[in-house]
Amino acid sequence: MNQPVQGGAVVELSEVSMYYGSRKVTDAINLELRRGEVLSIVGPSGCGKTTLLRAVAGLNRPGSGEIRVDGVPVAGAAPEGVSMVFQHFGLFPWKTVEANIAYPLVVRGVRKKDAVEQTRRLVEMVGLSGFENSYPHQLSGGMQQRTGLARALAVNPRVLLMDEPFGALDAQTREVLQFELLDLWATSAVTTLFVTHSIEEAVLFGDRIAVLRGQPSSVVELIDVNLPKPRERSVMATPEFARLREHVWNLVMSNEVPA
Amino acid sequence: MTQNHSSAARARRYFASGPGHPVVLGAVGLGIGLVVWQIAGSAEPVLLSTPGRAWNAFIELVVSGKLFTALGESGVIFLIGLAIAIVVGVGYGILVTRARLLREGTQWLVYALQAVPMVAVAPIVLIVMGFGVGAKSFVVFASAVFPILINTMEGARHAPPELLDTAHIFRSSERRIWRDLLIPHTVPYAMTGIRQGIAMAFVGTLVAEFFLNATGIGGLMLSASSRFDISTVLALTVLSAVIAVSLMGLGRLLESRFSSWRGEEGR
Repeated sequence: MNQPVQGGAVVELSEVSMYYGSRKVTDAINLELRRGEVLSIVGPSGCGKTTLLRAVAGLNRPGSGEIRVDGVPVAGAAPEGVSMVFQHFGLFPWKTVEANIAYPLVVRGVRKKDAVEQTRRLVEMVGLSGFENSYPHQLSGGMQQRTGLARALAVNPRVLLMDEPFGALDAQTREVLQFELLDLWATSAVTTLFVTHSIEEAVLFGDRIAVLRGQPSSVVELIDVNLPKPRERSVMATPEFARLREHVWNLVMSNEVPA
Repeated sequence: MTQNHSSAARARRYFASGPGHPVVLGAVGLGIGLVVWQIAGSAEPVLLSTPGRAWNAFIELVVSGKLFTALGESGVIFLIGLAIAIVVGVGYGILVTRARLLREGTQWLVYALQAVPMVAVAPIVLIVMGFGVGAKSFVVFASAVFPILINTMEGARHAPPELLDTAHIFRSSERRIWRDLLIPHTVPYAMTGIRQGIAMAFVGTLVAEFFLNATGIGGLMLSASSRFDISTVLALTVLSAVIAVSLMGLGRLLESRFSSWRGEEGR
């Protein structure tokens, strides 16, 4: 896990319309994630960001259109190598930290010895050494999300889906984890779809930002983030960061139909 | 309003921890009950017995060995019926939440069957299954299965969606979804059902022994009452109550043991 993961997959969304019941939430979305790219998706709440992300995971089926991971259509089942970090962590309360992280390996039938070794490495990487045998309810939110992150990375994902991964954390923990995630990405670039309602987060993490708006929503602008990589905390003080943040803010907030 | 509330709270505290300790209060209540029984029994010696005579009848049952034979017979059908009820109730309860067709096809039947009193079905069981251990165990099973099934269904239905998503994302097999998610999540709910099921199984045991052929504790009661041996009947009634209370206590103990993580998670 410590050497850079090569590339990741190409993810294509073509003409994807998602429905919530009979209501159309996204209208014919076209997006392509390049190998190893981080694409942030922002938009007002209810614009279908999470629904789209879940569709890439095979958790929701598009009403029309197609999603392909390395050319292979996502049809119902979760594609191999697609991993996800949940807003509310999605940890098994009756499993220890170690067992939660090992879960994807055990499900895949990885040999016990290899699973144990890999899990130990992941625990170390996310800074949870000493907490292997704790249960989620004994941990802070930040530590729970580190567990969730380690679990997502356990399968050497080709695609990482992050659904508001820091949304349930307090402000300080959130910042700490943000910069740890940046560090992690400096060594392992994997194709990532990053859904957030924090515009700062979208700019900080994204190589590009897709702004969704409207009902049903569509991509109003796809913005290239020309900030140096690997990203560091210092970019937040640059004029370019401020310019991008303002630009995205205006796109998200302007002409918003009252909810 | 607040004053009322606080005085009520004070009264509760007084009764909970004051001079009237629950065990002491319970013993006093029991004592009064026995005295009343003694007086009533002396006044009406034919219809009612006295605690003393009931005790003698009880000792006689113990000495003759009849009691242990009966307890063994009752115990066998109780355990067989309850064990099958747990396996079927928990298994089917989880299965129906995973299989929509099965759920929608059989849910009405479950609720309808649950409402049928066991006493009404006993003659049918007799005709179809005879009156051996199998038939009686079936009556116990049918009495105990519904609370277990319904509580399990309730629990399995509320399996956390985010965990189901997690299982889906990591391409878990159905077998592993049961093992990692559905069973551990459902156990505390199922235990609530099993606690209720234990009480129902006990009632079912006596029903089976009354309405099929007379064996076990129920059989002893039946034959004693046909001889107008009121002392034995009352002795067995008290014994049944003691067994029922002990079984329920055991059930509650099991339930609290298995629901410990549920409490912690809901913190």
